[in-house]
Amino acid sequence: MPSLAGRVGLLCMVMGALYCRAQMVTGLNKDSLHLLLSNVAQDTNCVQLYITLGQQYETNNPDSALYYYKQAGLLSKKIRYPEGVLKYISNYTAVLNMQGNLDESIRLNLKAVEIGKQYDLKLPTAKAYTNLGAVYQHQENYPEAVKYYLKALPLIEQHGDPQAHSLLLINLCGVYRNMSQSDKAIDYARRGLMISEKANDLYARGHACINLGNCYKDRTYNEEAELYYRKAEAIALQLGDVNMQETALINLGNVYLALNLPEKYMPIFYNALPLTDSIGDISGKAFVLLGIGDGLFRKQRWKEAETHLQQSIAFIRQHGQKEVLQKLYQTLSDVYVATHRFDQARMFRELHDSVELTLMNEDILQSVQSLEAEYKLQQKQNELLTKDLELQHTRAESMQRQYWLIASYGGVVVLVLMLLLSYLFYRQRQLLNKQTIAKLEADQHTVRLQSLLKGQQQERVRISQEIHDDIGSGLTSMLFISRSLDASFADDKLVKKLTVLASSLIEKMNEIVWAMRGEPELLEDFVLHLRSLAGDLLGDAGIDLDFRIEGTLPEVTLPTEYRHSVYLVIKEAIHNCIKHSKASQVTILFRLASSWSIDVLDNGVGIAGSTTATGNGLRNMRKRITYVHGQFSISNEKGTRVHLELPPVV
Amino acid sequence: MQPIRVSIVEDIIEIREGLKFILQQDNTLILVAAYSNAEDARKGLTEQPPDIVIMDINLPDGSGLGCMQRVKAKHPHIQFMIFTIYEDSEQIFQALSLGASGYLLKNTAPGKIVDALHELHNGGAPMSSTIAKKVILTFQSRPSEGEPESLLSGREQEVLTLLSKGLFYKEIAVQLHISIGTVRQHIHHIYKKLQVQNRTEAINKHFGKSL
Repeated sequence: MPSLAGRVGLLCMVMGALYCRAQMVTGLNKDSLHLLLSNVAQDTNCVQLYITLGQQYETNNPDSALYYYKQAGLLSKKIRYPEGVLKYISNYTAVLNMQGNLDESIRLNLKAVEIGKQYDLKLPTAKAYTNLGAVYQHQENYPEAVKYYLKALPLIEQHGDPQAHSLLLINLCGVYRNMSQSDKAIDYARRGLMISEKANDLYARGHACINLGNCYKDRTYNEEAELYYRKAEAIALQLGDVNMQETALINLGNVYLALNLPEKYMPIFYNALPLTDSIGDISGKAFVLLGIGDGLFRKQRWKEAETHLQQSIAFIRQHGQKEVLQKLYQTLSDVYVATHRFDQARMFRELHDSVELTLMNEDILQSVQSLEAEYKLQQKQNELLTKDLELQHTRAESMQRQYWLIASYGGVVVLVLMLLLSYLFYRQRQLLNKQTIAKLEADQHTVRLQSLLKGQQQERVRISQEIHDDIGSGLTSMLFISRSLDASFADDKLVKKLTVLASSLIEKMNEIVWAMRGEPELLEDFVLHLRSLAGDLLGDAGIDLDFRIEGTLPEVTLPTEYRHSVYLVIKEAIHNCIKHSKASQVTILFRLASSWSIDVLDNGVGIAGSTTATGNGLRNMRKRITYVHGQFSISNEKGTRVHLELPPVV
Repeated sequence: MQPIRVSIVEDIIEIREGLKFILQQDNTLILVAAYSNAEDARKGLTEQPPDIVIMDINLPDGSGLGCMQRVKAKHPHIQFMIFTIYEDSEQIFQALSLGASGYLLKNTAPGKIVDALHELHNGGAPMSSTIAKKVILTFQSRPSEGEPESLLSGREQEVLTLLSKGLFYKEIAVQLHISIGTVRQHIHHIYKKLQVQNRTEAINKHFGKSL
């Protein structure tokens, strides 16, 4: 009977995937708990009280249970009691699982994992992982279930809660059975059994025996299976655990059923029958009824078999267990054949066939559905893949852009350097010894730079280091050389120009290095950076700075290009104030609300309207701001006002 | 007033000569010696300790920071002024924790170099808002374990907080009703405590390992 064996397997699985909670106490008086609740302070005891109260409602009134668990959760959050939040989640999700709300259960358990990790609560974290595994196992997503169980395992091993440990191993056994990997299943069941024996934990030991029995039955090692089911039954009796006893008996009966030993399975199924009723296990009862019917048929007790099968059919019909119903019809038909009542035999045979047809249709429907689901999944993956490709494409494009930007900077530096070099050659040949020439062979480095800049950030940092070390020290040498020239040719304007040029090149190089490194910078740091820049520049020129921020600075990181563009534009605006405005005060105003803006205002002579607005510097400023999707404007107020409208960074 | 005795550690000859020239132009400063590598500097500075060393970090035979630490161990009163091209706050902060008292960018104008040397000698020290933030973090991460001499006073904490918010020295002076000179002195003390803190941490780490 292959389909029967499969069903029993499922039955054991549902019982096998055990859910973890800190503590489960039922059967307490709800009224006295309510009374306690009204008297207790809002502390951790109160949280526990809510949990216990919820547990009393769980079987008969799950919605009330949910309510009290939620209260426990809310209070725990309020008094900052992470253990309480975790208790709330484990109990709350147990009810969600019963109600079939598995997605929410997964979401909450993932949150529990997060909290558990944050507060380093090992055991609760492990339990949340175990519960995630159990939910996925129930959803028949076995690889995911294994993943979470295995995450729980090391934590539980460390903590040394033997019951949780062996139950977890038993769950692992169950999943591997589901995936038909019986070697691993047996291994985990054995380990679970060993730990439960060592800890003298009957509950876990019973479950381990049942699972080990299941593994052996899968492999048709019937004697071993029998042995472990018997052990489980004995433990169940000792514990008074009817659930466990029933499962052990039904599985044991099925072993004998497969061996065609009615003498052995009949008494077992008769024993199990009242147990199935007492715990209201419909599917368990279906198997028992089927087993008894089969036994009566094999023992040729036709009359009893007929009555039993008819009653069973009536019962099973009510509960819609189609596989069992089909078998019962078949057995009853066989009984009628044996007693030569062929009309009835044909009738039940037809009933059997029609149920079989329905089942087959259901099977087909299910396969079609799973095919459809798979198709949709594939489609989604394809979409993701396409998006991924697009993303890579855009990335490649932006890298290329950056590459050109840096390459052109490099080009400018090289050009200026070469000009300066020839000038220096002309003026003071003897000062330029071989060492300096080597240091200033920056064009070579820049060529290397270009070939290395294939976009990787690491490379950029390394190269920026090189620019900094080589060109930087070369430029610095040049600055000092020009200063010493200045001392000997004090009235030469070109030498003075050279000094200024070298100094400003160093500054520009530092800006390039800063931009190239692309290290993330917080908005706050950026604003401070601008403030100190403005303070230094204006301070040197004897102009007062009024720096104001309206609104609060959000904690965001600015993209490299954004901050670089804004930085250069503000710097240019400040330079313009110093050079052209004759102002005594400059105000820089940041407004950070739903949109961002920056104003640079001075109290100087103002700009001469349209003529300067097309100047080269201004055009560059406008271009930079347009590049980061902002707007640039310049106007005459009491002095000059440069106004930037910028897209906020989130 | 006694002139300030200054030594230079810088490997590039033009820069070294340029610095020498700047020092020679000012009669409040005296050049003691100029070194072109870390080894010579270590020997020379130990034998002929100046008041202030202008220190390049990248030297042909190693980092200037290691040299500075060794000289500082023998002559703790020597003040080191880090001389750098790029304002790399990470590197500058490391230098400050290891015993430097200030830093100068290499493209600083000659007049300002002289000013900075005077300021350092008179007990002041420069500190940017980025560095101030790093200092605050350092003290926050080891709040109770430091020796009493490494704990910040209330005023020092106020100065640090205002600095980290980007206020300039003169603004801090106005807000706290003290002189700019006093602000500089506070910052100088903060640097010293930062170095004690750093040393304590190093010792703790050492014992932590051997136990």
